[in-house]
Amino acid sequence: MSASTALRRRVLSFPFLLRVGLSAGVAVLVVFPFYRLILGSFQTGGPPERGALTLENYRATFHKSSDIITNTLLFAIGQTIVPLVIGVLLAWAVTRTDVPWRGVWEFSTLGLYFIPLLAAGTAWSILLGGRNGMLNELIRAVTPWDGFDVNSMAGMVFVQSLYLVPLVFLVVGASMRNVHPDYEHASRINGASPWATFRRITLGVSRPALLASAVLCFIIGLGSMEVPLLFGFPAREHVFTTDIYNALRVRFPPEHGRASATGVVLLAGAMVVLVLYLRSIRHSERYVTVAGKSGPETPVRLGRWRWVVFGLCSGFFFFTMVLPFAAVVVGSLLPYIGRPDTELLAQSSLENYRQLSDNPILWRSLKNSLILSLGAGFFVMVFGSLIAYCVVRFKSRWSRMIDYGGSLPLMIPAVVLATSLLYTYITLRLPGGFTLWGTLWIMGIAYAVWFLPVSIRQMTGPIVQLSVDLENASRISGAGSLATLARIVIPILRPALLGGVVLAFISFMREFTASVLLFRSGTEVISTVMYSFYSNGRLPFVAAISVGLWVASLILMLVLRFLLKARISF
Amino acid sequence: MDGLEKYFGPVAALTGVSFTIGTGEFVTLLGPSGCGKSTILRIVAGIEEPSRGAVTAGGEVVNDTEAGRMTPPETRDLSMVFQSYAVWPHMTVAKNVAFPLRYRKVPRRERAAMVDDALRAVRMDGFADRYPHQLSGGQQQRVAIARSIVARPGLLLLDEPLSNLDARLREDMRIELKRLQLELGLTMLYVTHDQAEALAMSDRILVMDHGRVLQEGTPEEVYRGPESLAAARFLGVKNTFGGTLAGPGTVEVLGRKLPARVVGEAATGGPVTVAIRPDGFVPASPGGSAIAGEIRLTEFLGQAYDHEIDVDGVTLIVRTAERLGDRGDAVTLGLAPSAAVAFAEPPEGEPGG
Repeated sequence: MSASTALRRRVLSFPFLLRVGLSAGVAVLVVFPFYRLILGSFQTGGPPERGALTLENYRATFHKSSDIITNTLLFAIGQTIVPLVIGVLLAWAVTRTDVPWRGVWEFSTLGLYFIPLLAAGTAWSILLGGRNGMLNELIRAVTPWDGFDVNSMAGMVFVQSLYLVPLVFLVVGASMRNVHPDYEHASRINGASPWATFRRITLGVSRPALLASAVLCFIIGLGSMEVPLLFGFPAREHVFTTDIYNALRVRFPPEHGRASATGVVLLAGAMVVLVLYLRSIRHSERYVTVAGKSGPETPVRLGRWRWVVFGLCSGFFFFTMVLPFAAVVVGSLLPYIGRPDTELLAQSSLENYRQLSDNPILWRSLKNSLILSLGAGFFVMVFGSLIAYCVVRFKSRWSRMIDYGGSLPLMIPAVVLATSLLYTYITLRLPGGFTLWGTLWIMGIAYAVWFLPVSIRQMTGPIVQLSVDLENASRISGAGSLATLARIVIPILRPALLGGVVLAFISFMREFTASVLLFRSGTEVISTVMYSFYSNGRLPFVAAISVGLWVASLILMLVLRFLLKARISF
Repeated sequence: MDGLEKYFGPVAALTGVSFTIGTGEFVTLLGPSGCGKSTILRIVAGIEEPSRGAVTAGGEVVNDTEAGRMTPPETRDLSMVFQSYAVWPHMTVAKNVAFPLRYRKVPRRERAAMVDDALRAVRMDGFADRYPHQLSGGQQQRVAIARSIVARPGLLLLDEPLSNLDARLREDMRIELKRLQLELGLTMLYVTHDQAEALAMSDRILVMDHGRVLQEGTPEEVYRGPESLAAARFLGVKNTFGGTLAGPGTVEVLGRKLPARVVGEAATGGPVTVAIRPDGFVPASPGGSAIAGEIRLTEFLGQAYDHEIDVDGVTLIVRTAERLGDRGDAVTLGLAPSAAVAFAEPPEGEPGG
């Protein structure tokens, strides 16, 4: 065999071509937009006409208001600490103690992830939104106190925190569940009290999970749009995300340069946190806990504290599920939001639902949401699976680079992601004069890029477990690489893949941050329609849509639970 | 411990277990997995609650289900070596070992020296700043032992600490443990399913099965005088046959009348189960009560040979110092003095009736 045939065989081999394709995909979808974003932040003028190099955009970002930096940090830090405390407590109660109804608390806390933040935010706006908030009206009626305005920094942190708890709960809970009970027993036997054991052993072993969820919360806080827009905008408590929204969607003409400069600043902030995080987990192998025969699961006996912890758990359930749901249901039946006295309640009707069902934009947005969520969901899971497959099967520096590139969006605030895509595709013209800007495609790309890191992580586990001999057996039987992938690998991974599609679908149906920056008339999605009703003061309409989403989420949740319990692969 | 019972749901894990441990004594709970021995240990430690019964330590009642009393583990002056070792992964070896000292109110300046002593005792000095993931299983196990002895607890509990080690290391550690116990005068409650470990280390053995104590005694007593078929089986008896009691001290088995020690109430002519250790046979000349058979399989074990011998369709396991012959050879065997024990139980009956 000559050298050139050998080279041709290598280049045309399946692993080589697969990696070329994935590299190209990651470059176009992830890396290139960031290059454009960073470049654009140093240029005058918007993307249509390329301007000269300048630092003016950065000056504008910082000049705007110094409060904005303080606010952004306050919000991001607040909504990191509060959910961390609540989430750790809940995770501990559910995984390590004998608090009654553990299954209920676990299910309902994880279920919170399903509830769109816009729907929950609407509920809190109905309850605590200024003087007219229903709960505030009640508080004023029976106490000398003035109530609590959710349209404030404290309100933003409060609402955002409640709905970040599931994330902390998921990450920390998984880690705590893996703490062998013997670690705690050994500590107690050696004289440490339950509290000292919790602090030094349970939390000590879970430190990487605590740090990871704190970093995730912080980056989400830097980049999420929902809560700052719902509650910060009216209160003039601006953060960088609302500033980007302002620059791109309120100002005319849009201030693209300033938006991208702000995006780069946010990105830099996230990177600083990430570097600190990576430094602190350098020795994560220290936390690898013993696997092996577990002793009989002996939960921490709480004694008389049992009912205190039970009260805390049910309180959380009440404030995140029961009360907000009641608020959107009541709000959706009323003509306006105000003091819930007999006069107002007497006017309740299904009028809001009737009007909404005649609204063509709502139906169009629902269709758009479904198309986008399913399409982007399938696409991103296939893309993520192929990357995971590459990383596991063709171990090389090249595969790792693809993995890093594809995982990049995890560390990037969502708003920066959307801004960079906007910046890239607003001028891009494909052959035939077709542009991506203003189509569902650009939103689908944004969703997919945003979810790509999750899809890679989700598929890596199942692929690692997939014995390479299953593939070897297929190759020996005469099937080629591609045939093996199609006939052996994909069918075996189907349950994991479909599970991922469901998770992506749920995440995309509730997506707001990127959508609100990228949508145009005709490409509205549910969340942007909700926000336009909200900003026009049509709170009862938003409440009615929220009820629909809430109920749909609960049904989806129960179906998933049933499927998982019945161990039916879906 | 008195009248200890433990139920997991409707399943009784322990029924009426009672025993005491004297200061400085090495007591072993020996039994198959699932017999409840680990449960006893966890009850003594205070990490498991008995369904019924009481535990007293040094005159103080630490568990009493009648009085609804259960003191938490940290107030009981004891330590434990877990089967999983439970060496905390996020602390260095030194920090792991120092942990009990902190909570046993040992002054800070004395701690370092005590940690050093403990690590030296298990031959792990020089590993103080390592993390557990940098240690082998055997080293982690030594750290676990160092941690359990550093504060000189009143009682040391060991839950199959050697079961995850390879055979060579297991024997070394067995000697180390016994040496530590003697040197430090420790009181130990040891759980194992390995009869060799139990016999080698214990002052006293409690043979357990199905959540109850079958027999209690010194290693020699238990080994030489099993009081039930289950205890005999557990202590290495491999040959059991159904037979009948032919007279006082004589049984009829395999068509021959053999001398045997009779345990339990059996009527003459009634059914008994005869148990003979593999090493209870000696080569004999044919005739009389000698057992004739044919060698099926021979295994060389190092110090001895194990033979599978077919006697009229029944298989005997016979261990001798010299090789009896090759496959297919005919052999005749006699019984060593007091090698056979007859139990008044059916061969496959439940232990203890």
